[in-house]
Amino acid sequence: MSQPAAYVITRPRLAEWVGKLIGRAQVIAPRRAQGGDVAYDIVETPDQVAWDYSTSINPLKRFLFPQGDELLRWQRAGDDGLQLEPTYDETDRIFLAVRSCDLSGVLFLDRVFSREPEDVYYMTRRQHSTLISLTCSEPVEDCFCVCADAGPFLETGFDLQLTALSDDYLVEVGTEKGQELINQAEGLFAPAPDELIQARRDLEKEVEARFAEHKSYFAAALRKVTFDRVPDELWEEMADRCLECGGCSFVCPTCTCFLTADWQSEGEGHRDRLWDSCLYSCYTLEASGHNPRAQRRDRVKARFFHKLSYQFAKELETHGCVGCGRCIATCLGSNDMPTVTARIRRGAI
Amino acid sequence: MPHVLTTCPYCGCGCGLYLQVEGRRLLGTTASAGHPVGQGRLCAKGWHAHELATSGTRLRTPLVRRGSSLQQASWEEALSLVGERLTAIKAESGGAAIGVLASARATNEENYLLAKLARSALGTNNVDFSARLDALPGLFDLPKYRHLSLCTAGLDDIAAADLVFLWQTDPVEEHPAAAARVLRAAEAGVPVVEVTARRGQLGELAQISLAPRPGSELQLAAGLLHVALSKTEPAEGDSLAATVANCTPDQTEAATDVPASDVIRAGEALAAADKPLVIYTRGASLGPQGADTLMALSAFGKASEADDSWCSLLWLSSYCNFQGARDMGVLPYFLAGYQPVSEETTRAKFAEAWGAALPSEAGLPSWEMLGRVRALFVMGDDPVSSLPDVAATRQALGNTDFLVVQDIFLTPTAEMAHVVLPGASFAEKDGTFTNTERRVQRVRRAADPPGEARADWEIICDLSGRLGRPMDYASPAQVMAEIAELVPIYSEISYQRLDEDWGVRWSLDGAVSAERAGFGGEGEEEGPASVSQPAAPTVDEEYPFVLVADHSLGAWAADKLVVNAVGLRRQQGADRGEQLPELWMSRADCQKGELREGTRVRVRARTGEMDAAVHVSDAVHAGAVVLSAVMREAAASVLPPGADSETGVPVLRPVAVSVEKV
Repeated sequence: MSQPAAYVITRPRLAEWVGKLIGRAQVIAPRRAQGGDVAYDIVETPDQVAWDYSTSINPLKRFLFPQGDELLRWQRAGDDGLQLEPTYDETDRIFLAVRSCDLSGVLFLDRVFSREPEDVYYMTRRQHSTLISLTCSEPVEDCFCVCADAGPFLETGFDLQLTALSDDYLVEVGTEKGQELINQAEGLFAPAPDELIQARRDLEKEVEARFAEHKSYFAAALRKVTFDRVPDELWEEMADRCLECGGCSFVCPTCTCFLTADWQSEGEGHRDRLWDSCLYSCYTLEASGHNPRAQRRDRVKARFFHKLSYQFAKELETHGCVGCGRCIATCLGSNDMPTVTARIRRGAI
Repeated sequence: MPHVLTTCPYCGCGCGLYLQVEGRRLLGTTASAGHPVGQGRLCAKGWHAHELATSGTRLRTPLVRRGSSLQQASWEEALSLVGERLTAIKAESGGAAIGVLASARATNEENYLLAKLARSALGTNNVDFSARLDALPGLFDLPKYRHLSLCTAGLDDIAAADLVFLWQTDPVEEHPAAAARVLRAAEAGVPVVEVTARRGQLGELAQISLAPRPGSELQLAAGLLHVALSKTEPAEGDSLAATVANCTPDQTEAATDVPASDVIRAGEALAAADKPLVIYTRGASLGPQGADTLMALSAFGKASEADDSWCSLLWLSSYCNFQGARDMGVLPYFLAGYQPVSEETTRAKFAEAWGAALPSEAGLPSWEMLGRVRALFVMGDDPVSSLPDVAATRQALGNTDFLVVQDIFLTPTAEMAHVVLPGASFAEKDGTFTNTERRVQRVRRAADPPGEARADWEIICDLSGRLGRPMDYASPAQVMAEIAELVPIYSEISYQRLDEDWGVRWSLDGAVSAERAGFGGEGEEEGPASVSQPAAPTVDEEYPFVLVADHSLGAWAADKLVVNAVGLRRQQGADRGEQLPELWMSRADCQKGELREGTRVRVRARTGEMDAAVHVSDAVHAGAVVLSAVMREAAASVLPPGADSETGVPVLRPVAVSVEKV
């Protein structure tokens, strides 16, 4: 039996459905934290989902590749040495109402972590994840997903994609895993009528037109960075505007650098991995004391080479930016992606 | 709620951050987008704040000294020992024989309770914190200076200013939340004037960079005032103009080595500014002639076009709750809210609320307390790391009959203790911090303390009971309710109100009049009474360089809250192990002396010598050599600790030295 291309669910039924999901897995959705900021967070009841949010302060990688993550524990086992126990996280997680840019960020992480040798910690969490995205109908001041081909609507990559249409949500199915969720929902979803599917197409066109203001000039930047045509003085000037907080790496949905640290006390211990940032002065510090990127200029250059050069884009299918705009809000200096691409394009600050 | 909103535990800016929690485990830190201080941003320390809580080096059980070593003990054993010894010493020698150091990093509630315990249960006004040297302590004794150790302006005034002075401070190192604002102001075209011996990162964006010979900052400030005031008609009886009458640009150049043309440029910029803002930190206050330099800076507003509503002094503290510790009466001469212990009515008010008679004699400041008290109780303070004279501090602590340290890590001070009590980090307790601009903000419990560690306010309550003064609080919220009753500047503060907003700034009524007339003001004089000779040492052929201790350089890398946070430790370069102290030297001087990066040199002063490794720097001006103040123990023979002549506060003065290859 062929499945319908899309479904529809009413708003009251949506809440009912979310309640069922919460009973089945850990549901992570936009949630208003104390103070009013919206963060992707664990929700315990359907009314905690902030459906009307614009962006979340954190990307999804916090749940798939946590900032501080235990990799393994060890224990002294008699006189025979150590007993090692890897700590995989097999929690079932449903990511609900995530923005297209953030879902695109997860797809990017998939490509990074699935390269050989596969990152078993990330991939285990991913195998236990379901991705339900929510399309964007309102551009947000800082974001530029259209420049990064990462939204506001997605064609693939989601298990389910939700679009808010006047009274209802249109639900597109991207994978069998998504279809499974619909099938389990027992009558909460109905096949979408053609006019609703058409309404979603119209909305996409209309929204893309409103997102169209070009904010980040990736093509020109890619060319110049790839062929090393950015003058050193420009990197130097950008370095003056980097305060080495590492925030850009931490809020970036596509940054994946980490370091490891071991803890031990009597007879036991554990190894953690922690987020790292390529802008930190000791990021490339070698045991000999030599540091190939001792100058901040070289670190800024390395960061944007990694984000914007064709060499990396070819390997990972796209440049390392999904246009979420978080670096604009979080940079202590002024080295966010749109500003940097604009400087590279102009060749000066 | 798995994202717990709290306040950063590092510098005095007080950015808002969320701790990400799963179960009771801390997973990470996220910046708060809506927070008025951080505005969605954090520095490296903030982004790693959870690491200090999850550190494997946390104290997990009480420790009691047995012979020469500290050994694990139960809470009962440790606290009864503390209770008995303190009771006995008080009975033998009186309360004045006991000293209490609270903390620029503990919450307001904890500081309040410990000050209460000291005064009501131990009967002593020896209540202080050694990190108070971050500002210009002792000035509270001198009403005319009081306003200088309070931040009259706010961080957002940086965005409103039309001229910014960075006076002997590098905000990129010290206060990144302020640096972000200065950077934006500079990008928007606001002139920035940097005054320093070691150019900071923002110096690249500064329009005017002034490098006074270390020790001549007062004379430079006076020279700028001279130029600015000469642009306006002097008011009748204007003592300030008379004070700086002789500080002409040529005189200033002679005293400071700053070219007269630069003095004129910066002075004219000041005269023309509507909203000049002077950002300063311990670099200015702990310099020689620090008090007079700050007095001169406080006159900058008056020398400009600023109107009476503009505050031109932005003093930034290096500790998350430096302001709060003082607000809570962690001062030898004030009860909470700067209410003098010498006032009988004030003492009566607190005595009634606390149910105990209070001592009326002012206590000793931290640097005088050490060596003069028989017992010392230290909570979250680390005098070995804070006080300038490390050797004298260690000796004094070693001679103390009974030393108790309550902390989250085994600090250099804790290593010397008879009893160590494990406290809770910022992530494991409720409370409030007050930031450098007087914003009272919530600290919220997100996880449990490790092992047997307990929230510090609970430990104090327990101990107070053992000292015969039971404290019965169900929560820090109840403590704050008591504070609001007794402390007028906190009368508006309640947890409910703090939860509804991002915090509340306690008001300095008439901030400008406070800035211009002294906090608590009684029409105090403006500006320095006189401009004395520079404190810069005389250089000659034998000692051709001026060595200066830089308080911002490397300070964080040596901080226990950084050293014990594993990722942050690496970011700050604290992972490199024991090394020779680094001596920052200008490229020109290095070339002259044929010195390269890492060259081992001997630094000789009239008082002694030390070895260091050269760091070739484009940021240091020729003629100056710079050493991090955290290296002061190794440098004690060449940089002898001295005292400010007016306030008696210990300071590190610049000295003339020679530098030779070993």
